[in-house]
Amino acid sequence: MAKKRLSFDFVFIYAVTMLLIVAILSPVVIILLGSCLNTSFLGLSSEQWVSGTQGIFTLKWYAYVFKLYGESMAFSLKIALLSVIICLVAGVPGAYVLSRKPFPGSRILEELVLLPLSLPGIAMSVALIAAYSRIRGQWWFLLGGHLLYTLPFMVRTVTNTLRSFDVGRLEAAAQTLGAGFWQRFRLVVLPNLRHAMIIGSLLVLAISWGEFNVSFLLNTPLHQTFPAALYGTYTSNSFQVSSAATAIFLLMIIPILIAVQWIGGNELVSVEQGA
Amino acid sequence: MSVLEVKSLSKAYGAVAAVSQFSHRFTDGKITTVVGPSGSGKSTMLWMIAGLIAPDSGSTWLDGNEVTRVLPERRDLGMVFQNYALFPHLTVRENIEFGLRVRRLGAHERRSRAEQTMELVRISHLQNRRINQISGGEQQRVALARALAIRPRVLLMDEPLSALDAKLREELRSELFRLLQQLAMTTIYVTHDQVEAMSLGNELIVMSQGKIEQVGRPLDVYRKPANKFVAEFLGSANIFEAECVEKEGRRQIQLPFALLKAPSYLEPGSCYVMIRPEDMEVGENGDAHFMAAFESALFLGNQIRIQLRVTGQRIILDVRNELELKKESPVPVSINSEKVFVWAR
Repeated sequence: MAKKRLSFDFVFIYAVTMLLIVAILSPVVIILLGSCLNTSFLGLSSEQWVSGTQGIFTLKWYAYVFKLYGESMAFSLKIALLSVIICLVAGVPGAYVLSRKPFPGSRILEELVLLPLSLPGIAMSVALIAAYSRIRGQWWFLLGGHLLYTLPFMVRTVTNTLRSFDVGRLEAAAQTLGAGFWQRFRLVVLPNLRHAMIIGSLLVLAISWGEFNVSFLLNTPLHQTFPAALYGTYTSNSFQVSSAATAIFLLMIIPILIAVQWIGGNELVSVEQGA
Repeated sequence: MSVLEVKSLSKAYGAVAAVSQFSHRFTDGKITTVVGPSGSGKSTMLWMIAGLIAPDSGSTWLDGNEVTRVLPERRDLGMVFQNYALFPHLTVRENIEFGLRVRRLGAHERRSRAEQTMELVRISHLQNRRINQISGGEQQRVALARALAIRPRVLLMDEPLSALDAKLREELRSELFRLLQQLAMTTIYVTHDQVEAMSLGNELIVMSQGKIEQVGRPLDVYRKPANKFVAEFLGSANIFEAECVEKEGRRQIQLPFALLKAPSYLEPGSCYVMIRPEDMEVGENGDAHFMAAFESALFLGNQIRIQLRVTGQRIILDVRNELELKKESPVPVSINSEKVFVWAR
């Protein structure tokens, strides 16, 4: 029987991987700990509203954050959900046209849609303010900024799927079977885009929820997104409150990212089998 | 049953004429196979009939009505595509019911028609499977069933067997033959496979470079090809340049190595002579024979194709017996004048 030997290579790679994981996760762990540890336990009881609580763990920071930033969270959620809806309504038909019915200049248009991704957020925001100074301060102006950043993800996801299998041939088959344009779109194109639309929506949701640049520069005192508010927290509030706010932020975004990974994997499999 | 007629259909892509001046009246209730090498325009022609490609000029007529500008979804033509184009998000049954669903047929009618069609092509046991859960041969049947379920006026088939391996293709070909004869539906069957074209068609159209080379019953086209292209494309052929001459008061064909009786229709002058490999024999029995030098042999299973050389020309001929031949050894070859086909040059 061959003796199993731990090779140096294996140990080295294992150690490096572990170090990396620790390095990546430690800020998250510190934030999570900071968000729920009782400061009196740590011996820092200077803040007046801490007194009176006992024990190591506490959820009072969370309660405080909800009280303080509930409105921002609701506003962020509203912007994120509206972004998803508008991206679906505008992005899916748009992607269909771009990949199935190309017209002169459609390639350029497709690149233009992707352009905001390569611009620094601050440049984009300043440009937006300069171009549309009149409507600055309206909450939907901020929504417009978010759409510039989220639409490319929906369009890209959908055009990629449309180009990964022969939709043209499926549509031709449906047509010979008697299906008109809208029937083909509804019964053949959309069902085959289901996965792409789910992934696109999750990406849009995650990006809009976490978007900082545009939110920070376009927000108004009345309409502040959660990430912009988070900045305020870190600059003017205690570490515990900031940690709790960040934890809420992460708790919302991590399930979305996991879902994207999970569905994304299945999507690839189903496209391969369908081809 | 429906009468389909196309008049001078043409389609060009840039400077390349994919189909030019294609006219034909497809025989009612019969199977017309269209064969040609890739790029001969046969599929483009079929897609134009389906309405999926707009012709540059010409017209399509269905039962006496012009349908050239009618949308494909209003033509009631069933089409089977090369890679089947089945809907991956639907089950076998849902695929077959698709055409009935968009026609807004009731659930009961849909179900009974789908069941009928599935029985016809023997896929009832697959009805709840997804497309990616069935084999290529099964997908082919589903595609056929889906096209038949709408009870089309004409059935169009675009290389339906080309995606399958040889063994399966042969099996499905004979099954398809039975089924299509039984349906007696006006069918246009496009293929690049000459065996499929000859065995499935009641009528055969040979196309090349967007034009019809010949139309006729498969046997007639095989026996009497209109030109060199058709002769060489359908099966194998030995083609020689020859002269038709008057000798001793009789018209004869002068080959470099033999003298044959000329058919009555042939005028004196230059001509091409075609002899199929199976129409020559080793021996001295025919009404003309000559000696040729053996070059090589190819074992084909049921027969041996031997390659010979005579007066600098290569000849292929199929023999059934197990000939033992040595390189460069002389072989007697005989030809029967009735089996040769001649056309003027």
